[in-house]
Amino acid sequence: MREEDETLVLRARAGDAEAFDVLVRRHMRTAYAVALSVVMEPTDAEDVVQDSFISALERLDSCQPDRFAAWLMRIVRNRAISLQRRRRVRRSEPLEWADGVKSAEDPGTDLDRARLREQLLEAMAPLPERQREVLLLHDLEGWRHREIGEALGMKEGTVRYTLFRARRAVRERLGYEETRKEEP
Amino acid sequence: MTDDRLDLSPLDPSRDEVRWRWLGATIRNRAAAELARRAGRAGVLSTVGHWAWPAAAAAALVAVLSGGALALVHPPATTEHVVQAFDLEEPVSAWLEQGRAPTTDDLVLALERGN
Repeated sequence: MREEDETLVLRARAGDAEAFDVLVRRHMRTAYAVALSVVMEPTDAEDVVQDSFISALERLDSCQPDRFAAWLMRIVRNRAISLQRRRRVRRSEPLEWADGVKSAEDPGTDLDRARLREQLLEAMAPLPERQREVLLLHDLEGWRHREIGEALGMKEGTVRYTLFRARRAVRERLGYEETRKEEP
Repeated sequence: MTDDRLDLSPLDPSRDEVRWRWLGATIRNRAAAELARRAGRAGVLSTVGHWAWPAAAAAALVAVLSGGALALVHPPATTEHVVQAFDLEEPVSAWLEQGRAPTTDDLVLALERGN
């Protein structure tokens, strides 16, 4: 049976490593998507995810247990914005661990994927941050419009429209033929 | 509007399984010290909590017994006791016994008696 975040947070507060581990596995992907939507650099996003979970654990007593996910995403977003600002001032050194871990896959596949990833990131880069976040949460993480609206404080219709615009902009930048020209 | 999803799978971090697992493990490793600290604190609080209720119950019992003993030795003061202790005369003793506020006449009378 799926244990609720609320129970897991209470257990993690008491130092239960297993409960914290479940929280990490459950929210790591979304945290990554939120971080990536801000920093637009996969290794930086991974770094933000790491730091955010540690920061969240240290401040877990101030979290309302039934609002853990939203609270964590605020931490992720703030950390990502902070990193982004620092990066604008001074391009950071590559993270040690980021270069130390090699993929287990075929180098050719790795290269193809890296190229596609770069193209997508480049196409998404000029979008407003909110559009990128909605796009990643919906098309990468599979969230529903309603869930995104609740998490980001947006109306469902606004989420739909934001998503529509983000997709259209990315497709245009990628040079895709637009199959539909209809406006919302 | 359409629900024509973009294929963002190249951005999916968990496609590189090794790296993704490694990220999770790194978070767990970094969290270990804080979790241990919390577990230790929870242990101390639990021990204190274990003793807190019996201690509070014992303190309450002592307070009740002490109150009873004091009541037996020093019975609570009544209006009669107050009047006797301060050697109050009419009309002040009458106000106290009747539990009413003094009237203007009472005050005049009290001042005359005081003189």
